[in-house]
Parts: sequence; C-alpha cells; structure tokens
Amino acid sequence: MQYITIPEASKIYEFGYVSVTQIHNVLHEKFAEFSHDLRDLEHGLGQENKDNFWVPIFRLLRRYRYYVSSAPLPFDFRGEEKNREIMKWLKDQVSLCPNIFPDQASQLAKVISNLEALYRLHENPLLNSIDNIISKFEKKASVLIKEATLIPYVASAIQEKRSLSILDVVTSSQLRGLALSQPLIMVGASQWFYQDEYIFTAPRVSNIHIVKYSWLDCHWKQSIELYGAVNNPKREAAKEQFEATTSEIKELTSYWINPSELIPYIDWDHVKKNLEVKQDMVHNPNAEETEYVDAKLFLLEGGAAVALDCDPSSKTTVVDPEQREGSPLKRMLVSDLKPGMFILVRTQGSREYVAIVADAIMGSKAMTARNEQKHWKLLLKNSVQKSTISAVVYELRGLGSIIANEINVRNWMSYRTIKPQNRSDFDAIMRLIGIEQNAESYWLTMCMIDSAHLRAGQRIARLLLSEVRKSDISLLLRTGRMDFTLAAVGAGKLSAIRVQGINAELVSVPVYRLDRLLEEGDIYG
Amino acid sequence: MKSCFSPTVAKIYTVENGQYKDLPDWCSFFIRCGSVLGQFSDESWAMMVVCVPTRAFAAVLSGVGIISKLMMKANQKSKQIKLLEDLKLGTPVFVYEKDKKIKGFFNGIKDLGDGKQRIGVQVSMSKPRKFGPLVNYYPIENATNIVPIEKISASISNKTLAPRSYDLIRNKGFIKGVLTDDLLWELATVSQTEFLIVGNARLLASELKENDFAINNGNFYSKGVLQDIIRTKRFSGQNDTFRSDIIPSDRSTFPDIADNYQPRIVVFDGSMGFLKSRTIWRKAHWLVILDRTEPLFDEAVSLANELYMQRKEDWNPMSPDDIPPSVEIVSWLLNK
Repeated sequence: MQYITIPEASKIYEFGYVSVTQIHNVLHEKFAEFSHDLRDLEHGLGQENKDNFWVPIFRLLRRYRYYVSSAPLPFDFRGEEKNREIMKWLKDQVSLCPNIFPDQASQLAKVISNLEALYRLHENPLLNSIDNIISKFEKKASVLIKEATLIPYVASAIQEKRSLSILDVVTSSQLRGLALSQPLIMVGASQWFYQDEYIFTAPRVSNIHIVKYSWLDCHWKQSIELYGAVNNPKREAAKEQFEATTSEIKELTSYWINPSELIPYIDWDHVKKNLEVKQDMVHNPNAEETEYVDAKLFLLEGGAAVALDCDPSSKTTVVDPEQREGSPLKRMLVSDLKPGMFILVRTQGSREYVAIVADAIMGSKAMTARNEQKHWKLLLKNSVQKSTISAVVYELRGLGSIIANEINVRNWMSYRTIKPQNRSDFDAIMRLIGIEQNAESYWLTMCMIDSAHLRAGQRIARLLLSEVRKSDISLLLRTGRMDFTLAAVGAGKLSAIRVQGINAELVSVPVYRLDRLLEEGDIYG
Repeated sequence: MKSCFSPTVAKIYTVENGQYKDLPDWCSFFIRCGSVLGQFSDESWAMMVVCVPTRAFAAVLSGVGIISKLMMKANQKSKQIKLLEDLKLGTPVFVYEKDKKIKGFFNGIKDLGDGKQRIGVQVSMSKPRKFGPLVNYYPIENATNIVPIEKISASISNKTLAPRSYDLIRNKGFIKGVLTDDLLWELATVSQTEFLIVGNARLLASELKENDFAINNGNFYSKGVLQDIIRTKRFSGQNDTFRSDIIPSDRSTFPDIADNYQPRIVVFDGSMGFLKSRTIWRKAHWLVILDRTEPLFDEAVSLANELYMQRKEDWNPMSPDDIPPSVEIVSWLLNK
C-alpha cells in the first residue's frame, strides 16, 4: 500500500461511486460465429469435454477467445509462425476426431476453419472502437485490460497507429492508488473485474467507457455489501444508475454469451494430479527416496502457479515494491501470504536455489557431502518405517539424545533441516542407524553443508537485492511479474510474481517441486 | 456536507506548499467518527465499520476526535492518586512544575501532621547534602503532576542527578485548537494507552509526523503534526508522554501482546489487523476502517457482517448527509 497525501486523497474522495458514460458494443461477425460455435461444441459434449482428447483443444481455443475479447488485440496477435504451428496441431486433431468423437467431428472442423480465417485477418475491432472514442478527448486516456500478460501485445498494437499514442495501458492493480487525471476505457465485460470491485466502488476516475464485443453480456452488480450500511443518498443514486447502465437490454443480438464462460478456469485437480504422481524419473531417478511434504498451491499472475511448503515454520521470500526504506526483500511465513503480495519463485533450475549455490561453495566436496546427508537421513527414515516414530524417539532418548520428540525426528528426516543442532542428538541418531563409526566425519560434513547454506543465502540475498534495486520496480506493480537472473552465483532464474489466489486444500508434493513455477499448461483447463 | 463536530476541531487547517487550507469534509468526518466513539459510554461495546476508497489519514484523524473526547471523560486525578498509592518507594518520577520537569524518586504519600495527604518526592541534587537528600512534599491535589518514569533504572543510593528542566509541550498553540488548557496539561503529564491503532506502522508514521496542520489563533497560525495530539507511544521521545500506541498489523501473532494493553478504543486501520486480532480487546470500542482497494477487503467485510448479525442493537450516530458519498458506514452495539 502506498503513501497518499491529503490532497491526493481528496481527489479520490470526490469520485464517490463510478458512473458509466457509455457502453460501446463492437460487431464482428466472424469472431462472433467462432465464439458461438466453440460454446456450442463445448456444451454439446457435456461431461465428455473433460476427455483427454478435448482438454488441450479447448484450453487453446478458449484461451484465444478470452484474450481477443479481453484486450484490444488483432486476431493474428500471436504472429504468423506461431499461428501456423497452432493451426497444424489443431488440424491434426480435426483429422483424429472422426475416429474418437465422430458426432462432433464436423463441429470441430467448423470451429477450426473459423479460427483459420480469423488468423488471416490483421483486424483489431476493439482498438478501432477505442480510436473513435478517444478522437473526442483532448488529453491522454487509459485503457484498462484484465490480463497483465497481454500488455506487451497491446502496446505493440497501439504502436501501429499514431492516433493512439495518447493511450496508456493499465491493469486493475494500478487503480488502487492515486486518482487518474485522464479518462478510462475498460475493455471487455465488467463482470471480469469481479475480484476488483473497487474499480467501480472506490473509483479513481469519475466515469468510464466500456468497450466489448456485442455478444458479450455485460451485467454488473456489486457483490460485496456491508450489512446495515448507511450511505449518502448521492452514493445510492450513483450505484443504482451504474447497475442499471451495465444491465443492458439484449436487443443487439439474440445470442449472448455469459462472460464467466470465457475466463480460463483453474483445474486444481489437474494440478494436484501432476504434482502428486510419483513419477519423473528424469529429475529424480531414485523416486523411492523422494520426500513428499504437504503444500499449498498459490495461483500467480499470468496463469502460473507454485506449490509452497505449508509447515507452520516454513518461510518464503517476498518482494515489497512499495518499501521506501531498507530492503524491499523480506522473509515471511507462508501462512501469512495473501493475494496481492509478490513472492519469489524458481523459473529455471530443478533444485532449490540456495542448495545450488551452497553446492558451488562446497565445490568438489559437494557430491560426497550430499550423499552422506542422504545416507543417514534415509537410514533414519527406514528405522521409522520399520517400527513407529514414537519407538524411534524412545530409542534415541535412550541412546543419549536430548531433544528427540516426534516433531524433531520428522524434521531430522526431512529436507527442512540439514542436521540436529546438538551433537549429542546427532550421535544418538548415528548409534540408532548403526553407523556410529562415521559420526565424527558425518558431523563435520553436516556442519560444512550448514555453513555453505548460510553463506549461499547471504550471497543470494545480496545479489538479489542489487538486482531488485537496479530494476524498475513500478513495472512489477503494473505487470505483476519481474524476472531476475542470478547467473553470477549459478542460481538460475528467479521471478517475483504477484499472488492472485490461494487454494485452500493441501496437496502432497515432492520436495523438488516446491517453490518452482508451474507452467500454464500444468494448471489451466 | 455540513459541519457536525466541535467548533475547536473545525479550526484545523492543512498546510500545502506554505498555504493554509480548510480541512476537507472527509477529514472532518473521521474526526467526528473518533469523537462519537470517544464519548460513548463503557456500558456497551460499540462497533463502527467504515468502508473507504483509501485508508489514508482515516485512522490518525479519528485519533484526533478520540483524544478530544476521551480526555474530557476521564477522571485522571483519582486514577493518578491510585497509581501513586500503589507505587513502590524509590521509583523514579518526574515532577511537573509550571514549565519545568524535575527528576526525583517517589517517597510515599504521607500526612505531615496537618491532616492533609502529601506526596513526597526526593529531589535529585548535583551535590550530596549535609543532612541527607532533599524531599519535597506536594499536595495530593497535584497528583497528576507526578508521573513515574518508565525507563530510568537508577537507584536511590547510587546516583545523584542534577535537576534539569525540559520543554513540557511542543507546538502548544496547535494542540490548544483541539484541547482546553487543563486537558493540555494532562496530555503533557500523564501517560496511558487510551487507544490503539492496528495498522501499517510505516504509513501511519508518515501521516502522524510528516504532515503539517495548523490552528488559527486569531492573528497567526500555529503549526503542528497529528502526533502532537494523539501522542502514540511508538513515536514519542523518551521525555514525552503518550496517549495511544500503534500495533503493526503485519505481526505474525497478536495474542502475546493482548495483556499489555487495555485500551478504551481500538482503531483497525485496514483489513489485515482486523482479521488477525478480532478476538482481542473485546472490552474496547472498535472503529474498523476498511479500504476497498485492499486484497483482504472481501474477507474483512464478511467478518464485519458476521459481527453485525450478532448485534444487540443498531446505533446510528451519523445522518446520511454527514457521510461523504465515497464512504459507507455501519455502527451497532454488542453485548460485552
């Protein structure tokens, strides 16, 4: 949250409740036909649209329809080469369809044919409409789009027209701060901003224009109401007027599509299945040794996701772009993370980045050290599996352990701790697992790993801070994502990404999948 | 929006680029919210929830209203006498005399033979005296002028401290726009946490300390900052008294600090603090300020609605015309 002065706040208080100047319905027959046919195909399949044949097809087509409806993009915005690649794959599915789903084959063929026709059009009807609107403005205007990931494409489209140079592209997060001094044009259905109701209920402009395709329903009603609230009569009147304006009479076309159907939905079950399956021999040849932990799934800006360890003591690194003094980086409990915060995730590299850098510090000793670490932890795990954890705790106490209890033993087995803090606890473990003769050398090795991790953490923090300070942090607020490469320490690529949602259910995840970005294909339906 | 608060508070001006400007209506509204809660009785538990387009300055302005009313209500003298009756002998204290503040050590409450209770304070001297340390005796009516010092750990036998004078009240002219003279004296001499603000400490610090306001005293303007009035402990100097405190809302846990404070009023500046500490301070009145642009706004409103459903009775201290069009407010009473 940024600091706002009294004069700046006064401007915000002037607005009250937003009013809509006008809804601009844009007609395009081909795109309307494609959209309706896609919807009919999906609905006609019923539950079968979850079949493995259809899921990737619909994911691609739905995503295209949503993007082109939610931002002023030309129909061929992905570029000729990419479109050709997509079209080739889709046509392969069309040729397979008669063998798998013969009843839907001709429908699918029609949808793909329509898409192909759209790919050939370098038309941008939404942008043309915006061009007409702003021709009446004397000063700059802002265009509000739903998806921050589309900003580069929209910027590119705007650059093609000189008359549009007065346009700024903004996302809803930028409407949390100061009042805008220029008109605002919202693209797409107002319902898509249901998570950002403040755009209407605490506006930063006095009124907005809404530009959308004609077949998109546009009906907005405030969903979060304060019970028993007393309002100024002017606010009540403005609210009623806004809701009435955005509830259009359906006279333009008889075939409206509910905007909620267009938004890609997150298939959390699909994500969980991808994470929980004990597979992936490429990353982990010794799959039986893989440690699994309970994790929470976080939905991130741009359709990505990440699994984070939900142990009560587990922490993650958060970037605070509004931090004015001191470091913008801080460690925070995973349980305290909320939507709107920016967390640091691995976008490249298969292992936890501190471990990678720690190994580099240990140099040639790293492999032996890690093997020794795995060795005694695995033996301890085996001991627990052979009996019970309580029995192991009891035995460890008998062998000289000071603080053995269930939680500590679990932590000692886990990736979360490198070694017990006390030598006596470690020696007790060595006695239990029958390698007491290695106690001294193993202890020294674990201390070396511990020290390397500490130095690695410090090194990464220094470099990261330097990278963050060099960057334009306002970009992070605008686009919701910023990438950092810490090549100097071999930690690969890290990204600060805005949290958009948190899945309440826990999922069992292999340790090597924690803190690592899950790709779009892994999460969306 | 018509003005609906005490004439003294209405004299506050903002200072922008050296110019004095009338306080905006929305600012006056929050001062009014604080005043209303500040003068509410303690028999019921009052809650006020306000949804705003920006949280900026809402909490600190409500603090101005709270202070102006809480202090008029409190019976400070009897509280201070009770405090001194329970105070350990030898406790370091400050004694306020006119514009001076003198360090000393508490020497008990005694009757010197005339039937009148007096408060003894051993005054620190720069040189040891022939007949022992000097003890001054003050009438019990001046109990509010004798205040224990929290942080000094000096013992009687080890140190002798020279008496020193301190400026009692900074920006006196500014504070007089909000408080009467006798309340001004109490503000400057008595420390206690009347109310808490749970919020973003960084933003609150800027609002409290870095923005000038002013009072028109007839021929001239007296400037000050809101910290001068609401006197949060967090931002008070070692020699300053305090009347409120700030609890950062990004703390991981709250229950560990619950016992340290028994405020009369708690102001939740934002959703996070409200959601995290909703089980604490149930004997205080609450003012909950919810910024619509916050990520946790929806959750906070849900909680507020839950509490509303448990209300004992409705309470409407504001008329609709008094409420800025950007603001929604609901207030009610709960059973304690």
